[in-house]
Amino acid sequence: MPPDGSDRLHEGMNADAIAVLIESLTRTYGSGPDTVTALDRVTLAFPAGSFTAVMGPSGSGKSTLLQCAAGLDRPDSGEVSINGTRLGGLGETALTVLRRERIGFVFQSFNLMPSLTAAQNVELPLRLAGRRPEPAAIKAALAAVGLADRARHRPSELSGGQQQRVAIARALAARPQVLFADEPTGALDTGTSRDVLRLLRALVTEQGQTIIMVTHDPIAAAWADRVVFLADGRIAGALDRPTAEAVATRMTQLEVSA
Amino acid sequence: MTLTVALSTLRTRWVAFAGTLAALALGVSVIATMALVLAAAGGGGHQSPERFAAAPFVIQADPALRAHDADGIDAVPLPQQPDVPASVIAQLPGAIADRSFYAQLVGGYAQLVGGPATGPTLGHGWSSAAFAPYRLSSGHPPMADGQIVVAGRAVLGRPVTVLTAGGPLAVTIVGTVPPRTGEQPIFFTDAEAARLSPGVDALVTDDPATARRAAALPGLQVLTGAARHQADPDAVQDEAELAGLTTFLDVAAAISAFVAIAVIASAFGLSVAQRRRDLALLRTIGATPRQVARMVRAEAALVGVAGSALGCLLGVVWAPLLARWIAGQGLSPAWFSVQLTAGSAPALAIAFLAGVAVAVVSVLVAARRAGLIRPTEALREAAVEPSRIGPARLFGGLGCLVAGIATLAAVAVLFPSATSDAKTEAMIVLLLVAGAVLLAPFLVGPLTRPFGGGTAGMLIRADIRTGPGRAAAAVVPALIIVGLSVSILGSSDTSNAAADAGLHEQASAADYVVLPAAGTPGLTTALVDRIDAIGGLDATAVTQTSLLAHEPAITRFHFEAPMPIPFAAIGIDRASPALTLPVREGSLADLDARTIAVDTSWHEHLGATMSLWRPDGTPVSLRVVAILAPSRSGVSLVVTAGNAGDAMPSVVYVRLDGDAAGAAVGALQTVARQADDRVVPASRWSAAVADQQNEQNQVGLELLLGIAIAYSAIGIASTSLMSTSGRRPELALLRLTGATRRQIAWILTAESLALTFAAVAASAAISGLVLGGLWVAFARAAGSTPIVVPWLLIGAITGASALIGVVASTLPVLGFRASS
Repeated sequence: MPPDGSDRLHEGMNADAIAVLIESLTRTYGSGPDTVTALDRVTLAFPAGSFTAVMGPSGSGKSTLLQCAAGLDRPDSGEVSINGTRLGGLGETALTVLRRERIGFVFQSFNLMPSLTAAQNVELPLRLAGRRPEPAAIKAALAAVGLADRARHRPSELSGGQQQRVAIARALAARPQVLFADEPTGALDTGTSRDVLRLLRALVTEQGQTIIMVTHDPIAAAWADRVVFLADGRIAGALDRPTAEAVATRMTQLEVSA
Repeated sequence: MTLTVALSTLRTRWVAFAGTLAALALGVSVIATMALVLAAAGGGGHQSPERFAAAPFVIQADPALRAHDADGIDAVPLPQQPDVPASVIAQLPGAIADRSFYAQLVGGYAQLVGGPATGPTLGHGWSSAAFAPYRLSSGHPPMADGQIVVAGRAVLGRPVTVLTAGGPLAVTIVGTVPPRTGEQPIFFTDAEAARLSPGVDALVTDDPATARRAAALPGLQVLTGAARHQADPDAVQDEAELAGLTTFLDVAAAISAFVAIAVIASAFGLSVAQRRRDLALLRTIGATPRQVARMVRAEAALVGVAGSALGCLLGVVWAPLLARWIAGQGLSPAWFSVQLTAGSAPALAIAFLAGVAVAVVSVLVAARRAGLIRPTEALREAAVEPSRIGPARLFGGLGCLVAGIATLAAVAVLFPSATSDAKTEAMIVLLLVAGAVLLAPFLVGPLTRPFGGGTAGMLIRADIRTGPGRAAAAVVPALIIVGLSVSILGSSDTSNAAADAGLHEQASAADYVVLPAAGTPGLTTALVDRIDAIGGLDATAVTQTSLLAHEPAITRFHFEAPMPIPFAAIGIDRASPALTLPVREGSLADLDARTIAVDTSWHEHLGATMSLWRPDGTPVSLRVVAILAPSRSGVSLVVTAGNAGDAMPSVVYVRLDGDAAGAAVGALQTVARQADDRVVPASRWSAAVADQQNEQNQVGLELLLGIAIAYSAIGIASTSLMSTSGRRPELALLRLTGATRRQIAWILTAESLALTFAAVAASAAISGLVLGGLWVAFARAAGSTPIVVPWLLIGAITGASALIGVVASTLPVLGFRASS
């Protein structure tokens, strides 16, 4: 890999086909001698309609990368563009509006509003945007994740897997251009994880959804088209059409050499 | 949309919701109660005329001093109702003269005559009976000197003694009339009435032409219809009482409003701070900063409206009870009550709007900061407040402190006499307490440092350091309670002690003081004359009064207030060694009807002429013959009894001559015993016992503090409850790390005590400032006075606050399990 950590794979790609472009992203925490560099001039491109997994040991900066790319956090320097729109110049409100309309985010801890039903949770982002979604559309969104019969249940009445699927339905309700997922199967058992990953895969394959997923699980990463490895805030390699064993091997190499 | 989300989230945070709602409802109820009672006090009595119900036109001298100033005519109520001038009487021949003067049945009116004991006992001429009208029910009207008619049931022909200002009279009851409310009359013949009280208090006529002529004369007022009640004896008294009550209620309302607002704002601030993660979650889902802020504000408005409505309802219930208590304590006329009419609506509207406004304003800052929450906060495990407390709060707090200290310094050094003004005192205390409340987040850390030892201490200090806003919210109610009580009670007690000391100074050279009999308003002229006649002693009678004067010039360039205002003064018979007044220049021996002695606060020099007004409004020019050092009793003017108005002397100071001491004392006691007056050795005389005004102030103070304390106690309880229930996840974590339930209870107890200590420390600093300023003011004005601090009461208040805080903090933990 080139020593400066940039990814040259996007050279030669059609610029219109890039869903998310990250250029020289840097994010540090703290100050003085305790400064931690979470991201160090990372440059990366995610093609439209692809399923990319971002992996790395703990502290490699992968969650930070996701949050900056999704507009939830602001980098210290560098640029993020979502389908050509630069996030850097936007104010808080404009950034929120853009997130609402074009980005979906799924968290590890589901982050559903405990006082709202599944259906209300799914339609919440749309209502915050000032739109009144059709009840049929919400039902369809829940049906797509297999939870049409649980529309009126609150999160406390749903299992972990079901809650995560509601979260996915919520993230998809506004038909985002990009779906970001931060350890979506981290809190789920193997069977449920498989169901969720199959759902995500289907979205990419059948509907051309762009998905960027952070995970530490090689089996989850194997569902992606491509795995990008991160170590100490820099890109440490990529793997196309990954298998779980190849991913696990590469991860071990990274951990050992760190 | 935001409302739906707001409403749905309320369900899951019902403890916080209940806490803020309770704080708001109770605070608004306090404001509403005060407003309703104030409105009733300001409205005056809707009483119908009693003494003059049958007299169509009542002509009286103007009871106020009026002068033209820039905006029109200003009026200052006179301390005493002036007599109708003789020149006017001459111009209105057809009008009947009405006289009212002090006359008291020895043995008690109610006991001798029966009937309800309402209103002062007064003497009149018999022709006044027709005005009410009183009609004879038995016997015959008085026809010669020594015959009286009373109201009630009495044995005709019974000899009784009547006390008047001049002395006791032996009379016989010759007739009775049915009693009426408002007074207990004693009717003499017109001639005897004229002899006992030469001044005419009112002219009564039924001829409209006479009334019109009277109205055209200057310095008179013609009362008809309901206005005639102004001439009733109790009306004058009631006016004075209501005026005093209104002043007191103004201060009480200000303090109550301040306490209410501080507690409500704390509760709301705490509630928002506890929801940072929830709000960050909304941000991640796509709520813009403005939407989040709007949601927080909408919630506050919702709680504001509901709480204020509830509070107004409570106020409607409590206001009549408060009015009844006030009347029962003698702070107001007996008939004082709060009636709920259409006129009460403005008072309730004010309270309602105040509640909503406070709810919304107190979240304005919190809402703005809520909007600034970064979405990433929802993704973090720990809930740590931003370390910067808003600059607005910092500057606001410092500003209040500086303003309070500056005012205190100004009053202490430049205007020492203002320390006795309740409004100034209240303002200083409120400014200092407000400053401390605003700066509380900065103070909790340093003030709880002593508690850093041990495991509990480590957790407490860390908790406070990462959540200063929350800790401050818990401290604020306790700070208010203790700060207000200590400052206000301390300064009140100190002022009373100073006034006492001042009076004792006056009596320091006297051997005995003669005091009026219980239930009489003063010493009679006959008694004073008889004391003067005793050989072997020196005596002088002192009359408490007030004179009107323009405020003394403090600097060359000060603006003279357009209207004169009343100043405390005393009238004395003559200069006497029995009365100690600290004369700096000149001599009291020169005091006569044309001269005056003043203290240094007037900045006058010997020989200067001062323009003053007697209590009945007569202007006089008096030459300064003596300059006195300032006295702690607050009296700054000394005149002869002739200039002091109609009031009766309140005390006679007696000093024995040395040789004929024994006989003199015996004669003194004989003379006094004839009228039931008391002779007391000067060393044992305590002025506070005889001072009813002091007592009333004390009761009023207790009421005020009672309300503030009760409300703050509720504030402590609600913020502690909210605080603990909002920390459930954190406490569950502690349980998981190995803490037993008892250890957690101990940690919460220790934290509550540490915060109470912080509140007490800050309050001690504030009170120290206030009382220190008071000491400086007294020292500059009249010599050093010991500061009185009611330690017992303060200890009780502090202990109660600590107890409430501990109980409220640990209550939610008592039914606690690790799985929560």
